[in-house]
Amino acid sequence: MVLNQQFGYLSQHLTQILAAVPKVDAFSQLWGLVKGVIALRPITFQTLQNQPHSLPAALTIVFIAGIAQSLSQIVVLFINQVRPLRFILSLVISAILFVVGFGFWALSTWVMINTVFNSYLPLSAVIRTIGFSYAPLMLGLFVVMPYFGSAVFILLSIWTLLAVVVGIDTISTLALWEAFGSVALGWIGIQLIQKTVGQPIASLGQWIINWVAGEDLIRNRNRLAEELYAGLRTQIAGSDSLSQTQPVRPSNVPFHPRK
Amino acid sequence: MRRYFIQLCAAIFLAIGTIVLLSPANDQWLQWYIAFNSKLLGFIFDLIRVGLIALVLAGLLSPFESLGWWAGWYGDGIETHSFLIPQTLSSPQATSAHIHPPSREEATEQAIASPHSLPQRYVIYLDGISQSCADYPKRVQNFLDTLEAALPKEMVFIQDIMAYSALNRPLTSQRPFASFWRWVNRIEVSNPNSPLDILINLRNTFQVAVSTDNRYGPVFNRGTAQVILNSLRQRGYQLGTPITLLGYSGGAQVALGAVTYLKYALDVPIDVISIAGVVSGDNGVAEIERLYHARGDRDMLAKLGAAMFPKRWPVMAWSSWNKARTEGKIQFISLGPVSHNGATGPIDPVAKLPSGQSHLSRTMEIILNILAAPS
Repeated sequence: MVLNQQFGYLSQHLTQILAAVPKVDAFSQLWGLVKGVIALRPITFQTLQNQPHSLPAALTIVFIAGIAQSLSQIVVLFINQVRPLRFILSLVISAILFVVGFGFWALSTWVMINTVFNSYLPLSAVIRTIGFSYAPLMLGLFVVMPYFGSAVFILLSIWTLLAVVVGIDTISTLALWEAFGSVALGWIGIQLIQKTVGQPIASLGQWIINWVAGEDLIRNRNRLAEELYAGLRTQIAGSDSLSQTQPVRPSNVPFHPRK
Repeated sequence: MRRYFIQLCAAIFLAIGTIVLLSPANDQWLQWYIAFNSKLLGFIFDLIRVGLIALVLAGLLSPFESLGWWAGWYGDGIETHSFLIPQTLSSPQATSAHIHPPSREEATEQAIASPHSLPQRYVIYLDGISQSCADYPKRVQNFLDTLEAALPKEMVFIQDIMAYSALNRPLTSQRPFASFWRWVNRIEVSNPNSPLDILINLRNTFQVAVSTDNRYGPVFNRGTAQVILNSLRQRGYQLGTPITLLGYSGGAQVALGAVTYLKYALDVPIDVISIAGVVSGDNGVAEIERLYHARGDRDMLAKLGAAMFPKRWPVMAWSSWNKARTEGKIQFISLGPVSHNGATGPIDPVAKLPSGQSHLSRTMEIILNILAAPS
């Protein structure tokens, strides 16, 4: 009897909690909001400011964009011969670090808006806006496409930048060029921090990626190309040295591949 | 069996993932159905829709064969390490040796058995994008047989390379969809006019795109170079022997892609003969002695290739292609009023040029002239 009463209270409590959860939130409207952002509609940026759960929805978009972004870099993991399970984990970790990087950029942009341009915007509004502006990058999966992928990447990057500028312009009192300036300065700021005081954080990120991949990943383009020459040099039967047939170094590539 | 099961599960997972991912677009699509108000039209558009999704998926998955090969995901399908090649030509005995091969068919075996009967050149054929297995279509096989019979006895002809696979694997075996490709081949054999060959062409076109891609190209080209090196070794290749890569259509791009690695591995003169080649003009051009680029005046695909790849635009004066062109490394040869492939293509034995010469005969003449007087 007491147990039944307890269950009754519990179900009543759950019903109240569920009733408190808004039926229409940013997640239920996600597709519509994403389409609006991709179409660069200012009204969408205004709408999403008042949508419940728009902040986690924005971070979800950034995470998906991060996965797509990681996919565009898969060749690095493949050339480094990362095993399948570590490969998948590396993609997820890269996406998480992408979200962290996004957070710093949003923070930097917010600082620029509130200091250099003497406007006021809450940090959450900036995160929401820039986060949703990453929507075009959700199509980053198509960057994997051979030959056309690089052009798709450039297109999506420009599209995202436009969305960020339109978004900041819509939710602030800044003019369009001021919005662009704040975003650009925010980006420059984060680059400077990354190269100076933020170096330990960047190194930590790199260490995490290497740890998950299980090796020190080679990222340099020339070094990656060198890797492909490993073991290719022909050995001569009956001769004691490779020096007798030192191959001509290809003009377009690299030098000193690993033996 | 376990691997096959995993691959099958991955394919099912991918299919379900695609359906889920594209489900938000269904609402828009359903409006089209209402507008059509016809089951037949709806069905046709459904087919187009599924076809487009499959095409995009095939494109997205196309780099993974070569990338997975390099990463070792498929086991030991192909060795990536150096291999032993007998050094004979560079030795004093070899340089003074006379070449007396008793028969062309036995040249390979004799090359291994006796260092005094050495081939003077290896000619490696890389087929066009219609290649799906080791059995070539009749027209191609006829061309290869004619060429092999006409080649000088001191030349070894290699024609067993799967140009569009870093694993040197035909479409029809050791693949999750091998049975599908076998079915396509069966249909093609029973009905040569069947449009299904477009599926093979599309699949291999994506591999050509992989070869031209700045990101994946180096891995794919390294893979095909390894396949060629392995084939040379199997045919008793002697270090120092020059090589000619003969590429038809997309095979010309595969040849140019592999050249950089072949040159590094063997350090021998390498020529490339492109027949109706669709080539991107990438860095491989800088490594070869000469590229003979033969194409028909009615070859729209080869012309499209020239327009599609910015490195081949004359305005890109600093590109490898244009530099090689300026240096005279590229020789353009007209095949006459010939199209890209098929009954009006360059290897058809029946179609005639205005001069009365058959297309095949003209192509053969060009190839043999080049081989008779290489750069």
